[in-house]
Amino acid sequence: MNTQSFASAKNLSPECRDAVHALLLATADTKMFLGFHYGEWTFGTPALEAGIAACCMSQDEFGHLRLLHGCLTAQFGDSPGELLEKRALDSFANMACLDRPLVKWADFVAVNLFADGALTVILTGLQKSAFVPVANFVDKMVEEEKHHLRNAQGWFRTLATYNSQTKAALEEASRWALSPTLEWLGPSNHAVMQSLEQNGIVNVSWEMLRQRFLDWVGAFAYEQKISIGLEQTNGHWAPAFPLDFSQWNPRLRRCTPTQPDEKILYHLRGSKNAIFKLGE
Amino acid sequence: MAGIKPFVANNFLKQNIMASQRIYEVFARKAHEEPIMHVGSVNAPNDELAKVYAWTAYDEEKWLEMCVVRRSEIIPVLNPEDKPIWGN
Repeated sequence: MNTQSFASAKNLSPECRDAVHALLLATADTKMFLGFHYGEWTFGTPALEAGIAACCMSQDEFGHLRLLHGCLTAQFGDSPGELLEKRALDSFANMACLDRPLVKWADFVAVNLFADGALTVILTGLQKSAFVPVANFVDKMVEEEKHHLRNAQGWFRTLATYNSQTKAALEEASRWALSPTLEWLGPSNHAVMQSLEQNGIVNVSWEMLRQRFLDWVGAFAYEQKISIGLEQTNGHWAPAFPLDFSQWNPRLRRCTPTQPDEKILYHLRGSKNAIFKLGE
Repeated sequence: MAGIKPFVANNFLKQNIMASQRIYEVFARKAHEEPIMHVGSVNAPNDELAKVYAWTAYDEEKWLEMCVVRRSEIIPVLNPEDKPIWGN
């Protein structure tokens, strides 16, 4: 693995530059949609404190989004307008489980655990990254994400053990959220991931990061007696369902050309209040 | 927020989870030399969520240390009968 560090995106090779750009954009997009859904669940939670926690996590995600957009603008020349306002729906690289509104509380909990959890595992892989602009802010993100995962684990345990109805709802939501999360993580042997590894952008192999996520959620769900579609072989957890990465798009981190709900983008862009956008 | 989350009756969950909640008292301090003080309380179904809720509900200060205690575990030494100890 590379021991060189890169103070700026200009110092990266063209293929590594594209790989870092795609990863940061996909991370930013996922955080933007997560932040939106968490924000929506400020209201209607099973308890007032759960609404405060959801709102707080939403603020964290939008704070992280701001840092990521700042990095994308400064290092890769992306304009803030292009990152959100002027992008086609089919160009967003968020996890597909965030494409639609989270209707049930169990959906929220599943996304909190799987989508936010997978993102956090990737962020830990970016700690001490050879790409200095990312290494500079990622530790703070990981620190804040610890509370998100505590919230996810606390609610997952609560729903898993409360009664058969909550357990069934959690199982269904978990199976729904896990597959698109693994799709977003992508195939470890892809050239994009190998470029990230070889240039020290991530501190361990992509396969190790992916396995770290699977082993964590696999063991955790097993402890709670929730079947999420993973099976254990040789001490490691792996999907028991097929994942076909032959059509995987490294820019969108999706296997099929799906896209987020237009209504969510309408709200995220503040389209209803377009006339109040000053200076544009 | 004028959101798009469809209204779904989560009432079953709400009523049942609410019924299983405990009250936790939250204590914190901003510096080692300061005494730890009572900053408020949270309702939570278990210790794990009580920790998250304490952190998210009382994050307006830069705390150095924070802990939660189940109210039921607190042994009163002086307890004025006309007012609850914690105010709620």
